[in-house]
Amino acid sequence: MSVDRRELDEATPHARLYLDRLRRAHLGLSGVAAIAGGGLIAALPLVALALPSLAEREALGVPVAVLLLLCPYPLFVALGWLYARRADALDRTFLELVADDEDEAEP
Amino acid sequence: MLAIGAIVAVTTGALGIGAWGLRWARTTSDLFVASRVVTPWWNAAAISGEYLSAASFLGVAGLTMRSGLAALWLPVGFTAGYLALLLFVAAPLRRSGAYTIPDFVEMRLGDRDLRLVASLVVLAIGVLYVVPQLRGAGLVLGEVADAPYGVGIAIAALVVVGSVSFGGMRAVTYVQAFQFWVKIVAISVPACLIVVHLGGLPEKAALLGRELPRAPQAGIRIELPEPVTVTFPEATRYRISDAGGDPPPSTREASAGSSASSGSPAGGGHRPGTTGDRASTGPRGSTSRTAQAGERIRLPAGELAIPAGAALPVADGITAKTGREWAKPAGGEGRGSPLFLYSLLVATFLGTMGLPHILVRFYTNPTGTAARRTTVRVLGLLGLFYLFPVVYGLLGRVLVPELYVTGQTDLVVLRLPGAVFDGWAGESLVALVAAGAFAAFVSTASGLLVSTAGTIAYDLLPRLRPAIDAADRRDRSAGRRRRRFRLATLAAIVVPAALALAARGLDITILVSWSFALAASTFCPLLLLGIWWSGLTARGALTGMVVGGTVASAGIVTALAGGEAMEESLLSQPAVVSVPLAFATMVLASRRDARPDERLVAGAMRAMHAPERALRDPALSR
Repeated sequence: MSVDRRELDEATPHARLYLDRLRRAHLGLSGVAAIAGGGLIAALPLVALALPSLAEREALGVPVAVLLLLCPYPLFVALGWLYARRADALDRTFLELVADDEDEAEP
Repeated sequence: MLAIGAIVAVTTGALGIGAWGLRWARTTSDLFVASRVVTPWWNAAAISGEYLSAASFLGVAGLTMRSGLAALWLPVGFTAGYLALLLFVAAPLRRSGAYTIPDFVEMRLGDRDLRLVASLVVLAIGVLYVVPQLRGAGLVLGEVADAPYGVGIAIAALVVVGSVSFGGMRAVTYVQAFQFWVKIVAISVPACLIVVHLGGLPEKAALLGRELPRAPQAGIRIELPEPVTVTFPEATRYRISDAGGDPPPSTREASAGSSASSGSPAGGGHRPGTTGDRASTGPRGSTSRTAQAGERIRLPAGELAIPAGAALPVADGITAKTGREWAKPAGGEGRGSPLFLYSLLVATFLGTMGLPHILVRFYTNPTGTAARRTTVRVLGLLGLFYLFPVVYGLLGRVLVPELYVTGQTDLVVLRLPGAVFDGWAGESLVALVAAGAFAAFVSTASGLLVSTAGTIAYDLLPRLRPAIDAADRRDRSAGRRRRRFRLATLAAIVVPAALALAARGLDITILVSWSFALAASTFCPLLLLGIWWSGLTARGALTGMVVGGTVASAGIVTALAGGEAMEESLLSQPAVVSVPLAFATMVLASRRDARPDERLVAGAMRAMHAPERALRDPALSR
C-alpha cells in the first residue's frame, strides 16, 4: 500500500485517493478542534449570563468576570499546540506511505 | 516633548531596520532561500506586530472604560480568529504558494473575473481598516504634541508611505517583529508599574467601581477644549468657567433643554437678573448651576468644575453605569446583548483569516508545518498582549473619569500613566505608551497599504488598462512595476486619509466591525470551501461573496445612517446573519453550476494538502 512521488506530482487517480484520505483526516482533526475551540468561545457568554454573581464577586481585587474573560487565551494556546502536534503526525503518517521511486535517491 | 522624542526614536528604529534588512535581502539572491532563515518565533512576532492595531492598543482599553467588561469579548475574538486560521487555513494556504487572496482565487478556481472581484474586496477591507489607524494617529499626536488633527493624520500618512516604499519582504518581517516588541513593552511596563504603585489591583478601584464614576475628594476640574453635550446621571451642581478672557458662556445655551424650574439656589454671584433660570454668572465669567438627574446639557468650552463626590456627567454616546452594570460581561442591551455578542464573536473568529495583510505574512514560513508552528506562537503572543488593556480600562474608570465627560475614552491608555505618576516618571511613561500607540498604527497601516497598493498596481491597473499589462509583458524588469507600486501607495493612502479627516466625530469601532464582517462574509467562505471542498466553482464563489458582502455592508450602512441609536444594534454587527448566508449561497450556487474541471481541482488540492516532502518536483511545492 503506497503511492509514489511521480503519481503525486501528476495527481493520478491512484494518488488522488491517498490525497483525499489525507484531506479528510485533516478536516476531521480540524473539525474536532474547531468544535472544542468554538464551543469554548460560545460557552463563555452563556456562563456569564447564567452566573450574574461574576460581576459582583471579586478575586485579586477585580471582578471575577475579568478572569473569565482572560481565561480563553491560555486555552487557545493549549488547543493550538495539541492540534499542531496531531496535524504534524498526520502529515508524517502520510509521508511514510509515500514510496521513493527507483531513480530517486533521497538526500 | 519626551513623547515626540520616543515616537521619532521608534519610527527611526523601524525605518533603520527596514533599510538594513533590505540591503541584507538584496545580497541574498532568492526570497525563498531567505525565508528559510526566518524562524517561527520571528514570524509570529511579525504577524502579531502587524495585527495589533490602534484598535487593540488604544481601542480595547477605551471601549472597556466606556461600555464595560462586555468590550473584552473583542480581543477574545481577535485572538480566536487565529485559532480558526490555524485549524483551517495556515498550512494549506502556505503550501498552495498563494501570496494574496486574489492569488489563491486564481490558483484554486482559475478565474480572472473572480480574481478582479476579490481584488475589489481587498481594497474595500483595506481602506475601511486603515481609516481607524490614521484617526488613532491623529488622536495620539494631538494628545502628546498638540498637533491639529489633520496635521497628525498627514504626518502618519507620510511615515506609512515612507516605510512601505522601502519594501522588501524579509526587511518587513524584522520591522514588524520590532514593532511587536515595542508595543508589548509600551503597554505592559506602564501597566505593571501602575499596579505596583497603587499596591495591587486597587481596592480603591474596586470600591469606587461599585458606584457611578464620581469626582474625587478634591473635586475635579476638567478642561473642555470644545463644547460638549453631556447627560447628568444624578442631580449635580457644577460650575463652568471660561478659560481666558473670552466673553462669558451664554447661560441660555447652558440651560437649553433643562426643565427650567426654580428651586435649588445657585451659588456664588447669584444675580437677580437670572432668577427663574437656575444658572448664575459669577465673577470672571463663571457660571454655576445645578443639573437635574438625567438632564442633557450642552456645555460650552471652558473649565468644568464638579464638587467632591458628585457623579460625573457623561458625553453623548456613553451611558453612565454603576460598577455592577459595568462589570457585567454579558446580558442587557447594547454591547452586552447576547445576539450582538455572538455576532461579534462570529465576525472576529471568521473574519481574521480574510484580512488582506494577514495572509501575506504566512508566505515567509518555509513550509506548511512551520506555518502551523508560527500560528500557535501567535496565539501565545496575542494572549500575552491582551492581558494588559484591561488594566487601563479598570483603572481608567476610577483614575481618569474626566474622559467620560469629554467622551475621549480612547485616550485612557495615554492619560492613565500621567494621572498615577507625577513629574518625569509620568512623562516618560506617557512617552512610552505614545510610542507604542504610534508603532501600533504605523505597523498595521503599512501592512494594509502593502496589500492595497499591491492590488492596485499589480491586479487592477493591468486588468483595467491592457496597455499596462502589455508593457509589463514586454519589459520584465522590476523598475517599472516598482514605480507603479509607489504611485499606488500614494493613491491607496489618500482615500483613507480623507475619510479619517471626515470621520473625526464618528465612532470608528463601526469601521473595524465593518471590515471584519466583510472579511468574514466574503473571504472566509471562499477560503474554507476552496481549501476543503472540491465542489466549489468560480460562479458559486462569486455569488456567495456578492451576497455575503452586500448583506453585511447593507446592515452597517443602515446602522451608520441611523446614527447613535443603532450603534450597538445587530445592524452594526451583521456577521451572525451574513456569514451563514454567504456559506449557504456559495454551496448552493456551486451545486447548481457545472462540475468544475477535475484535473484543475485535483492539482490545486494536491498543492494545498500534500506535505512538501511528498512531492518530487520542487516547483510543485512552492
